Amino acid sequence: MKYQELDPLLHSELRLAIISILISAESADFSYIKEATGATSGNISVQLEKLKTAGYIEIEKGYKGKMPQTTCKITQTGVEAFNAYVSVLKRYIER
Amino acid sequence: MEDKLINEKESLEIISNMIATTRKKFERGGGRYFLIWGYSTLFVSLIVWYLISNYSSYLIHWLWFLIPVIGMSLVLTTGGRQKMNVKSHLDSMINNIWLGVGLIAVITPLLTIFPQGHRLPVLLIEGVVVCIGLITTGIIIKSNITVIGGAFGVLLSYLTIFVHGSDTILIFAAMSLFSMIIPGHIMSVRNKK
Repeated sequence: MKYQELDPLLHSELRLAIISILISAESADFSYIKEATGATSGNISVQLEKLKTAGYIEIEKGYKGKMPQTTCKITQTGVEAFNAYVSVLKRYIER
Repeated sequence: MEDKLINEKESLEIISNMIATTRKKFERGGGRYFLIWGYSTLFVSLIVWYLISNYSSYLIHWLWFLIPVIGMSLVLTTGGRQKMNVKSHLDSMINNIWLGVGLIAVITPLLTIFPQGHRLPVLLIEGVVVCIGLITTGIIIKSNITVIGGAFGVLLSYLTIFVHGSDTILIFAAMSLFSMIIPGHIMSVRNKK
C-alpha cells in the first residue's frame, strides 16, 4: 500500500537505474548501461523490453563498425513518468 | 543490480548515483579533442613556418590543409577504441558548433585562391573563430580553463596584426599551445584523478 502511488514500472532497482541514466543522457548504448548498473546482459535486455513496451524508451539496433550496437533513448512519455515518480518520491520523503 | 523492489531511500540513491556516474562519463576524455587539434595545429604550423622561412614557394601554404587531415584521422582512429557510448544532450550542441567552426576554418584559406582573397588575414580569422568555438564550448561544459584558454587565444590571434611575415605563423602556433594543448593536458590530468 505504501508504494501504491509510485509507478510500479519504475519502482524496481534496475529499471529505475536505466531510466536515471537515460534521463541525464541523450542516448546510451547497451554496454554503457551494463557497466553503469553492473547487471547481467540478460536481465538488462528483459528490463529494456519492459520499458520499451510501456513507451518509456526507444531502442535502436545498428552497427558500430562490425560490432552490433543497441542504443537506448528516453521518450517524452518516459521523461514525464520519471518526473511524476520523483514528485511522488519527494512527497514520501517530506512526510 | 536486479529487478527487485526498493524503498524510497534506495530510489533516491539509485537516481543520484546513476546521474552522477553518467555525468562523470561525459567529463572523461574531454581533453582528447583539444590535444588532437592542438598538436595537429602546432605541428603543421611549425613545419609551414620553417619552410616559409627557408623557401619562398607559395605552394607551401597548401600544407595548412594537413591540419584537418591529421586531426580528423586521429579523431576517427582513437575514437574507434571506445567500446561504450553515452551521448549527452550537450554533445549535439557542441558538435554543431564545431561543424560551423570547421567549415569556416576550411573555407577561409580556400578564398585566398582568388586574387580578391589575397589580403584576407587568414590566421587572424582562423584563430578568432577557433577560439570563439573554444570559449563557447567552455561555457557549455562549464570548464573555466577552456574559456580562459580560448580568451587568451583570441588575444594572441589579434597580435598577428602587429607582426609581419612568417612570424605570424609562430603566434598562431602559440595560440594552439595556450588555447588547446595546455587546457587539454590540464583536463586530461583532472579526468585521471
